[in-house]
Amino acid sequence: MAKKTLDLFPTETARFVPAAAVNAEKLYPHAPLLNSVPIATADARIKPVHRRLWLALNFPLLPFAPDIAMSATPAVTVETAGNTKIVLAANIAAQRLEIVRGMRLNSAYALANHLKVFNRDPHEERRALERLAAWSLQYTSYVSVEAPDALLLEVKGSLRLFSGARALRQRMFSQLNEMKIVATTAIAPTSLAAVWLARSAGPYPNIPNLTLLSRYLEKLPLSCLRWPEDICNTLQDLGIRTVGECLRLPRDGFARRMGISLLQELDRAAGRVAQPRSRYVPREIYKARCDFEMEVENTLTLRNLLDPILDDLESFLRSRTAGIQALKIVLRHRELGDTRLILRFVTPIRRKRHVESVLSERLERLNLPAPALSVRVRSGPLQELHSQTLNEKLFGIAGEQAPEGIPRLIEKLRARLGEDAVYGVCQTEDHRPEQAYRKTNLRTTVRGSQPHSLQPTAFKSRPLWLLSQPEALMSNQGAPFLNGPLTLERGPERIQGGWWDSADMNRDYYVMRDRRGVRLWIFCERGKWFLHGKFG
Amino acid sequence: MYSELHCLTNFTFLRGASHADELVSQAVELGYEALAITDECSVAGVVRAFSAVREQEEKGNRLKLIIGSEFRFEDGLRCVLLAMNRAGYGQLCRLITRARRAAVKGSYLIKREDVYEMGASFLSYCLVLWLPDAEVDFEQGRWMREAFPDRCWIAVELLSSGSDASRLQCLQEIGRELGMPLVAAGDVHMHVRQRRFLQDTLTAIRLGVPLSQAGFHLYANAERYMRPIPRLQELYPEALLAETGRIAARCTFSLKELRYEYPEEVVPQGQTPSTYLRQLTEEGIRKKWPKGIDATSRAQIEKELELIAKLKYEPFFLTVYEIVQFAQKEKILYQGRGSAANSLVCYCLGITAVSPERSKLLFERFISSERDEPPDIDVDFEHSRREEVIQHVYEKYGRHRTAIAATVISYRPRSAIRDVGKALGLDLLQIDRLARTMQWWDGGKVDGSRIREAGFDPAAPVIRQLVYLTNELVNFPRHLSQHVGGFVIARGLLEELVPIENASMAERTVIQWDKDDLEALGLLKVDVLALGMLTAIRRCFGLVEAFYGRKHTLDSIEEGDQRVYDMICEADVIGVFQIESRAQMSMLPRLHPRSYYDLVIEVAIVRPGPIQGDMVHPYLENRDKQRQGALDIVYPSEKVQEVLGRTLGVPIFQEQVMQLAMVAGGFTGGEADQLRRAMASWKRNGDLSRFETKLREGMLQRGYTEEFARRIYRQIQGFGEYGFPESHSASFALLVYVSAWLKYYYPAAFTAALLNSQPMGFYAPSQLVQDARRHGVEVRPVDVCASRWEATLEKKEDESAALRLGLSLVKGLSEAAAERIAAARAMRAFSTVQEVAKRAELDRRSLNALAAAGAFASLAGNRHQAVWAVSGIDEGTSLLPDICIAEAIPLLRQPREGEDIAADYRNLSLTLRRHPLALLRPRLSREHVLSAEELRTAPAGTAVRTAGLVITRQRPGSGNTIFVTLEDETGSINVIVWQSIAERQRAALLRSRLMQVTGTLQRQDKVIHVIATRLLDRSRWLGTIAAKSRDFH
Repeated sequence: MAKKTLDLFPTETARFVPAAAVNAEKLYPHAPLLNSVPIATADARIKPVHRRLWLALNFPLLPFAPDIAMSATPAVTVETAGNTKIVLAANIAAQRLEIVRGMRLNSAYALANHLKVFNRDPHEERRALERLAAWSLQYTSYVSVEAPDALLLEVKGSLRLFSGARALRQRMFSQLNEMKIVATTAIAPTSLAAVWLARSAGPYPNIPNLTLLSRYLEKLPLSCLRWPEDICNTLQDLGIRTVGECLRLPRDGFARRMGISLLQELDRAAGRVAQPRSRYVPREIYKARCDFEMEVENTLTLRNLLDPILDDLESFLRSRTAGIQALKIVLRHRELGDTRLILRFVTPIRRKRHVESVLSERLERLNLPAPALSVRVRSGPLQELHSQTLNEKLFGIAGEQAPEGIPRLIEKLRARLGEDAVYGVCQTEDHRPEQAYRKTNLRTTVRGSQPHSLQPTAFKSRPLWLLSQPEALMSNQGAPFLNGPLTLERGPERIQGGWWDSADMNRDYYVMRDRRGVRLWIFCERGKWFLHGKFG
Repeated sequence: MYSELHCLTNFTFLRGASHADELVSQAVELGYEALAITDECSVAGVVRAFSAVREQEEKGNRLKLIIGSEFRFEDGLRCVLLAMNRAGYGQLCRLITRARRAAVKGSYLIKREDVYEMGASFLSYCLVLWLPDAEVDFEQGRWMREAFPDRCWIAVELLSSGSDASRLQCLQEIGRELGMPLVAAGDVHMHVRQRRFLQDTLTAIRLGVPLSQAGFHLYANAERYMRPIPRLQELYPEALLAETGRIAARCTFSLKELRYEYPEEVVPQGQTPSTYLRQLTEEGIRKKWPKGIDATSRAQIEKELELIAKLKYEPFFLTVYEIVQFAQKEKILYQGRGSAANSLVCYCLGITAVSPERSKLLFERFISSERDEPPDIDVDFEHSRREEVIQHVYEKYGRHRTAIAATVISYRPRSAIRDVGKALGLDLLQIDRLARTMQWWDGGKVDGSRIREAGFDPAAPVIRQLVYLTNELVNFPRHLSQHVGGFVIARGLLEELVPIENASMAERTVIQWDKDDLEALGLLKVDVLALGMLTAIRRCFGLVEAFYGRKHTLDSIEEGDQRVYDMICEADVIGVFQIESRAQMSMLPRLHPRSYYDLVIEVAIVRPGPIQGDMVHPYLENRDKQRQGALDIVYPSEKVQEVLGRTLGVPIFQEQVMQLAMVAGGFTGGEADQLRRAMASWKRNGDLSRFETKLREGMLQRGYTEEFARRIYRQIQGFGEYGFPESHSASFALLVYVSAWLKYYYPAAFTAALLNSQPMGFYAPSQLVQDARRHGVEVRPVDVCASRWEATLEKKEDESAALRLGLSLVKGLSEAAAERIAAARAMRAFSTVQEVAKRAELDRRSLNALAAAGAFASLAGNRHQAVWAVSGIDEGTSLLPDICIAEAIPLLRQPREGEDIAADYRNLSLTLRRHPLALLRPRLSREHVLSAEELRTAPAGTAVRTAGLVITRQRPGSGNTIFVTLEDETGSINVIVWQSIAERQRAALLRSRLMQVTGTLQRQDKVIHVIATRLLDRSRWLGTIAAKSRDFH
């Protein structure tokens, strides 16, 4: 990160004298781009590249959720570098307090007492950027993602379509405003320059040609380049603040000191070397639609009609070596609203067989409210297949031996009994009886593991059957009473704790027998007696 | 009757949830007969328990204290060992030492073999309680019986687990089978049940997980508290309770029995400690009084020697003598201080350089025979060379006999809030934000308003838990660290006196007790301390000798040089030892020190103690009156006059408070000593009040007025732990005088010495250099063609000294690289940057550092050119010595003045160019900001606006003001910020590098302050000029 420059001294116009030329080719025979003329001077061997026009969109607040980006409370997203946390982005409120990218978190705290701090989530940023990339496809077919926070749109053709840069930009920004997305933008003939200019947060530049570009680059501060910190420091120590000043340095000297790759960056930005950019291709899901020739009234017919779609789905997934965990089936009726079926799978699946087995369970229970006119099928996001599933496919082992594995069983049970009716139980390390067992989500736990075996060794003296709510007991002269007096077998087991996550517990548990000899688990809390469980 | 034989204090870190004194008083309350403190593989908490028992005894309560320790063997076997007698205690300590030394700091490792390997009769005087696991391992029991025949019990700890009855039955059967008796025990972790919240929290902290994940590591219930006897009687058979008494009766050891034994080798063959000390003293007399000693001094020496002999303290003096002899031989500068250090005997032994001529009054008090307190001698050594002294002590006495005292590191509000917050599962960033609100001046407790300020609701349950637990955790010991230099040296095996464990520093070992523990037991330690100023003084002596050929030592500098005192009175003391702080400086023109004893008072008076005890102003008033010849203090008695006369009726030193308690309040020496201890810790324990009645009544009885008594008590209270002893002050005053003398006569050498001894003192190199320039010293810039690593003196044309800054100021340059530059230059002068790089074999980092610092100016021109030149040097070229790449040199822009200044600050932390504020002055003037110079002539009481770089922020003691020192191109500006303003403008106060202050001008005896009403952060104006402020806590 570049050091903040000393801003209290007025800027003078810098004067440079071209350096004496030395034959650099002798020193660097393998570096044809090098010579001792200033970087900016036109070089016969380097032809200007100017075929496209790039609109860069820079999203400085991408690391924030939209409401936080706009909130009145200063907030920052931080990145951890070694032992220190560095500000990656500051929301508008924080920027007003002069919190800037690259600052240490401690310094940011010094500027804002009530600072909200979030850890960076690169995956979320990537997803957000991809969403924006998909959105921007409406303006041009050629969108390139410049991670982590910018998009490049090739707009040479679009400008005419949207009647000029101004109109295009206005339209874009009104949409972005609605989405509460903050962006800065620039149009330039080279993609790199467009990104740099967009980051500079100056007035919106619209630069149609290279000649004009060089004028803009002249004043562009080096901090927009995001060059490595040591390079920025060296350049600053040389008294160089802008790209223009940089471009006046001798090529050979610059390359030796800052590295040839940065020289190439300058060349690319100035449009003397082309920079190929990869196109953004939106992420895939499976979609299919089928309009029935006649209205469908029973589910059996429906199932048959869905069959070709399921075949298509399997081959779609196979060609992408992917699986899905969810499938949405929407049936359209004439007047009524749609009927939606959502199938979920414990592990990503690919085979038609799997889909079918779950689907038929659902269809069996489905009462069609009205005849269906058409069906639309839409998959959840494509997912990587787990190796086990792949093995099934490659070697046909597990698949044949255990066609109805536990995951399939669970899916079937769920399809029959409802999503929430099936769950796992696991033992947790907790002294409190209520907290000693916990429901678990099977979807996350089943893969590759055995069902949890319940080992009540830690609680030998506890009953397996707990009442869902302790039941208050009558008491007789301070002794508990349930269909007559109870006899004490063992106890007390004192349990105190839980003050940290719920109400504090302070109980004495006893094992007692009622008149019929049933062993009961009873506790006393604040002088009151409760029945909590029965022994088998 | 019941004796608790298994009880942990909070010195079993992150397990025990009560302080030793809480456990002791609860045990007394419950009517326990005895209490064994059995921390896990440690006796670190026993001295506190011992002191607590002694205090209980004073109240007429009785509790027998047993010393023991709990162990978990490597294979899981758990037991408690209890010391029966002194021998058993020694055995216990040796076992702990062995286990602790076998593991890394903070942990221990003990195996069954250890017990055998230590010899057949090892642990013969310890009683053993076996602590069987939930699943009783019979084999463990058999081994215990075999290893500890006839002195092993099965400890039955019934903790309401639900199976108490079957557990008891099971253990009874095993006991019958093994022929091992059973005894009741409580596994006490806390003194009352209510501590369970903290105990749970400690467990979570220990595991490093939130409470919700601590699971079965948490105890199921709070039964590990000190249970009332009736409850124990419900739970245990009578016989098991009675057995505790029988065991307690067999443990007769008391910490009172520990007696320090001095090393023998300090006395040569054929001499006794007495004769040897006498011989050395006589030799000293002949040296110090070549013309013969005067009668008073002779009488004083005889008196001292008699007292030393009576208390058998000769070996102690001889031990210290041996250490300073070593320092003398190695030419390490040192200075003794402390009550005993200011004796004539110590003067004769060369332990202190403070001669009796300097201050006759001091030697009146010395170790009193009545106060059975070990003599106090601390020796300060040069900071940079103390390690040599420490290694000498280890070498001379051996590691088995020498170790450093521990320092108990306790929870502070910030660390407590962090750990509790994590245990409660708060988000790390949130915790950080909360902890951050705890500034160093917020004091001991967590306060609701701070919490609100951090954006939390103080009423939220989790925040209330956080505050409650944090406040309970504060002051809990967290771990043992090493004391700065308190050595314990034993005659025999030290580990039989106190266990020794590994310190974090390699090759260092610490004992399990801290300095207060040693003091409470009357054990002796020798303090080998470090003082940066001694390093600076020694270096200054060296520079003066090399440049001028004049030799000086601490005691050769003539006392009473009025020109030096003139300078001190002008508060022209930047760099002078002790009195250079803001508070001290503002006192100097008012206190007007003209003699050595004035300096002694000056050093002691500007301390939190006297300031809080409200002693400063009365003293200043009396001092003014004295100067005007109008001093007429009426002392309530002649005795009081004796005590307070030398400080004009105002108690300033710790010793005076004790003496007052004795002569006016009728305290015995022992009681006065207790008072001193209570004073030191009353904020922690708050038990000073019990002395109040005694003091007041004693004074009233002796005819002093109620008002006098109240004033003295208030002063004692204010003194708190910050009271400064006269004996230390006296030694410091010598260094004050010597450093001031050097500053006056050799400003260039003095500044060079200070620069070479950084970090030290209150001021950064920038201020030291500016001060030197203001005193007419020519300061020359860092230059590869002239600078060495350190600052040096160069001859000017007129033969006087100029100061050449050293390469050590260059950020990012290593000393080795600087040495290579100097060595290469000594062979042949440099002519190009490339040549420097090649001949001194500098890497890229060093080259960049030098160029950025402007150290190539004489070879490469301006900074931009130098940076271009060095950035073009390939690191590998030293392999091809003769190839120099010819390349184009761009004509780079000349750096602007502001850029150069900013770069100077960034890379050297100082500049020899104009002060940055000089550049800002036009802008500042437009805003009617006055310079330091303009303030000097502005009328007092007017509203002013001023600004400067923040040099220091300082909060003296726990007072309610913050001192900020600003600096501009004309000098420094003293700003006082009251608490209320500080609270409101916290951000501007903490954040500003360039601060603009609006306030009222206050002037008193040449001292100018601006009382701030508004602070403005103007740092933005500075850009990158990073004048670093140093904050003092």
